[in-house]
This record gives sequence, C-alpha cells and structure tokens, in this order.
Amino acid sequence: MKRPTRNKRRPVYQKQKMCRFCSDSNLQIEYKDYSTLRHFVTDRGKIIPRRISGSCAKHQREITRAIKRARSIAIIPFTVTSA
Amino acid sequence: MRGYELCLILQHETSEENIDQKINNLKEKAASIGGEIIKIEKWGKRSLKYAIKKQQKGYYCFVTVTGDNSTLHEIERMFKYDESVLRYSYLRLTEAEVTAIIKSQEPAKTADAEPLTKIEKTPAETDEPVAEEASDNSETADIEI
Repeated sequence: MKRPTRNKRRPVYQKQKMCRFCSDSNLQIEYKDYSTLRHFVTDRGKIIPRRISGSCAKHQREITRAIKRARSIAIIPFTVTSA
Repeated sequence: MRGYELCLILQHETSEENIDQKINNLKEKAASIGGEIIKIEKWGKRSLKYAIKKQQKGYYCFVTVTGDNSTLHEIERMFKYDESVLRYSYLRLTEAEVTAIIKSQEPAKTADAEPLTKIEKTPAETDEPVAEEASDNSETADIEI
C-alpha cells in the first residue's frame, strides 16, 4: 500500500520580491524626490527594512542615505506622532 | 573644481525680489572667489514636515555651485548670519554629475527663447505664481514634475 503523502512538507511558494530600482533603471534615488522615497517610509516615518520592501542591499543603502538627507531638510519627517 | 548642491530653506514670508537679490549676492560672492553658479532650482513655498525655527512653511531653493572649499566656506558664512535662512545644507557632487548638469544647462543658456522646464527657473523668470497653501497632495504633485 502506498504511504499517505499527508505528512510530507509542502513547499511554500512565496512571490519573489523584486528590487524596484533594479527592475526599473529609469527610477532614480534622489533625496529631493519625496514621491519615490515615501514608498520606503512607514506612516510613522520609519525606514522600511529590506526584508519587507524587497530592495537589494545596494539600493537599500542608497535609499537610507536619501531618506536621512531628506529628513534633514524637512522633506520627510523624522517622526509622526498621532494627532 | 568641485561641484556642490546647496539646499536653502528660506522664511516663507521672504519676497521674490528679496530671494532674487539673495541669489544675486550669492552669485557675486561665488564669482569673487572663483566659483560659479551653474543651476538654480526654485521649488517655492512648501510646508515643512516639522517646524524649523518655529516656522511651519519655507521657501525651498536648490543651487548648484562649482568651486573649491573656500567658496563653500564663504557661502556658508553668508547663510549662517542670515536670519531669513531657516536651514541650509550642501552636498558634494561627483564630477560626472557636475558635467551632466553643465551639459543639461547649456541649451537653455544658448537658446533664450526656449522655455525652461517648470522646476528650473532662472532668476529672471520668477513671475510664475507660487502655490501659497500647499496641501500634502499638491506637494507630491509638485515634485513629480
């Protein structure tokens, strides 16, 4: 008799996250560009980690630098406190 | 010769003439020490994401300057003692970035009739109305140009 396959661990398929800047070479990381950077910041103003945003190490470094630069000139908030 | 990008946040009450005058001063100052202003980008009035010197709004202006560190020191001293400058920052550009900017500015300089893009205005062309009340949505639209 064939063994039931119930106990076999099913492979978990997860959609491969793509680095947005690797897949689209036209997109530039610029500290002045709020509309792009805002996707990498939470509502609270925190920088979204790589494991969630899916960006590659190189671009994450650039994003972080840009966000910090943008914070210093009040384009992006440091923190957002609930009103 | 190095290139620097200066970011200026001025008090939003500063009048256009005053801003133009400041930029002209900056130009003269830079020229006197061997620097040159190659690009001026005026964003106009925008709300700040946090208060700077108790101000919620500011006039954003980005200026690209070539020169060496003495040019930068002189410029920095100008801003330091200027009450209307809420914040300034500068960023050193790579040589490739500087040449790219110079190249992109060249056609605008030679052909006067050719209109510049909305975001890049020379001091003479400031008669465009500036949005006084910038909500969060219009802000993002501003930058997307």
